[in-house]
Amino acid sequence: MDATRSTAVPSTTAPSTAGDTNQPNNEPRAGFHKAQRRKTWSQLLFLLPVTVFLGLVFAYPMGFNLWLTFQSFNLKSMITGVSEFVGLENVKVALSDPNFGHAAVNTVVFTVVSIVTQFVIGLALSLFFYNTFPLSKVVRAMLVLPWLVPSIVATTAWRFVLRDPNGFLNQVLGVVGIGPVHWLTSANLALPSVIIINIWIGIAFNLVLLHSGLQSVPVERYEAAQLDGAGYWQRFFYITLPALVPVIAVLLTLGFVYTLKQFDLVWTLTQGGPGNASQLLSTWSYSLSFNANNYGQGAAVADVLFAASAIIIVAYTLVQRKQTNA
Amino acid sequence: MKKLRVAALGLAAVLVLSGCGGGETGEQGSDKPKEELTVLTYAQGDGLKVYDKFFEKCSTETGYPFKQLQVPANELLNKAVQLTASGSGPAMIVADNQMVAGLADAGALSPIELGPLKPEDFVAGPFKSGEYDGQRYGIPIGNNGEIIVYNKKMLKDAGIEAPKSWDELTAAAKKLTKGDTYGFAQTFQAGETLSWNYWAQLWSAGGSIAQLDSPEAVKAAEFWASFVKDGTAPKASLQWQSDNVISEVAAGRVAMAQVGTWTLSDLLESAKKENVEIGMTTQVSMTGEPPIVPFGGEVFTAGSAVKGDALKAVNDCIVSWSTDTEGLAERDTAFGYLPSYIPAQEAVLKEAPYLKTLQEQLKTSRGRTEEVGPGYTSRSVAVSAALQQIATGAASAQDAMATAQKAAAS
Repeated sequence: MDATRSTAVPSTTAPSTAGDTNQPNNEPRAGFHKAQRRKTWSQLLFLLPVTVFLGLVFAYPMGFNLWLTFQSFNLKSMITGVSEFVGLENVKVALSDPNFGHAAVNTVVFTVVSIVTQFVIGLALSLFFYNTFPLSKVVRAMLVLPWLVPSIVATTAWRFVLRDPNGFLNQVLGVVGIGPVHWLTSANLALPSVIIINIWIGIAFNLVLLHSGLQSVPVERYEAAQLDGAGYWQRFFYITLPALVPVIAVLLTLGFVYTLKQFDLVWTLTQGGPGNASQLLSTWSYSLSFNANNYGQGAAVADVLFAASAIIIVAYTLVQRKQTNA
Repeated sequence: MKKLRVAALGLAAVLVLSGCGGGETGEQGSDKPKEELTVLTYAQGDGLKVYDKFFEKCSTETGYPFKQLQVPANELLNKAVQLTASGSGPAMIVADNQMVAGLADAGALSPIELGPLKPEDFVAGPFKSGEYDGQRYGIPIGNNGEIIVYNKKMLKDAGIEAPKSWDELTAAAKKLTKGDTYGFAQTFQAGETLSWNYWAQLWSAGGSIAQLDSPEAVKAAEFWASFVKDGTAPKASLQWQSDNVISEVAAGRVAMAQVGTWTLSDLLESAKKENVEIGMTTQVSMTGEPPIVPFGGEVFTAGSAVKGDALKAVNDCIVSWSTDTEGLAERDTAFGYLPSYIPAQEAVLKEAPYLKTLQEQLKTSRGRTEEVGPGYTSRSVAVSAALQQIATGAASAQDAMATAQKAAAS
């Protein structure tokens, strides 16, 4: 019991404890000094499990990926273990590949359109479900379903719905008199189709978080505002939105990271095709590494994704720190 | 704290025990049960059963238990190398013939011996595909290929002969496309099959896999993608394999199609039910001369992870595929393959006369890795994306193929 409690303390408040242990060192006092040092050691010891865990699960794969970026690693090197340092060669080749620009633009469009749309729809739905009405819980549960179903199951179902030329959606459109639409097999529509399905999955996530966020806004504020004569939009902009800011920050950050690394959805639906039309950086990185066996280039593309995620996470942390300090 | 120590001890004990167990199986005596030999395949459906039966026979004959491990076709090369690198390499790999160069180059294969088999008893191209750098790594088990099938009645009604050249195929496809019927269909899903079919057109135009941006390569790509682009082939074929194509042919929604010989028995059966008569001819070439088609089919190879007696058992199993000529004919018929081992061909053709077109085509066939060796894989990936780009109008043939060459050569 004791052990678990004290491991939790230094890992969460590591910077402040470091400050504590430094201070007594400045004013030398015999005896106390020794005890203090032992305390520092035991504190470091409790940090060990989390350090080992982070090292194995995060630092090693990322470090390996970074190392791969600068190596001439191929199928042969996998067995012999021999590869050469090639400097920035892989990065140069990957970034100058015309497919890179294409995949990067696709990734930006995919991420931004997905996040904005699913956030707006999710927010609208959460406001709609704020007031309970008959069957509201059932409907809400159904809306959350896409998020609970394994993505491989959901996307396989979508493949059937969008199948060319006689999938379910095309059959429905046929009844209305619209000819078959090439949802996943045309260069113009493949990416939009993939984005729509990603939004469909993402709405649930936004709805759940925003809905629980709304529950935490004190009802008294609304009542007070209403007495003061505030209209619906005024209440929304001056009470609801400010109260939701912390939730929204988490939501957008998580949403960004989820969407940026989205892989299985695109891979199941189009494999990045037809002809790279729906290729994202994530699928392209996989394809470079495991279809074409250019591990170094695949790693270089993955680095770009790491960097993009890192920027967002750092930005989020800074914003959050500012908020807690304020 | 006490609990923790006990748990740690338990964990350590498990680790030590499992470590010992692993070591033991590696250095077994002859009286103990022999190590299991893993066979890496990408067989599916009925093919699995054919292999199961064959490997059961290998198990009884050699005393080593053979066991199949299936992976998707496009992952086999990587998986074989990964497993070998991690020390649990497969004993045997049923590789597509274009993978042998890559596997051998990576060091995932062991050289094998022909035993009682004679090189002159094999079809030359496929036999050569089991070699790399002058060393024999595998023996071909049979060959397949794609040929053109057509709806006899539709062609007759339109007054068209079976096409031989690019111009003839293009003209026929245009004429036969009307209403709900498409003139021509082919596999256009990204992947090896798409590239594989393209190479035949590339070679007939005088191009080489080594130079994907040559004028010949661009011309061939433009031709091969023109059907989907012009609408004489269904756009849906961008996600089709042969299996999808044959149901369209049997249903009379497609007049001509290029399909794999492994689907022919299914096609003929379902076409019979629909009262559709199917004609067959070889793939087309630019001028109408006999096409140079890259042969398909697998090669049995031994993994570099097996040594000594186990390697001998694997070698014996590989050789027995062909020495058991009767069984070979039966197995290849089930696969829709023509044996690479010539003495078995006659029996297969008697059983499956529809493979005659394939036999015709194999005479002028070529291996996919003859020009570029282990660099084949990245070219195949690049070209299939390029062909889709041209077919969907996302890029011109010139640009798409220039990109492919750049991506593949780096």
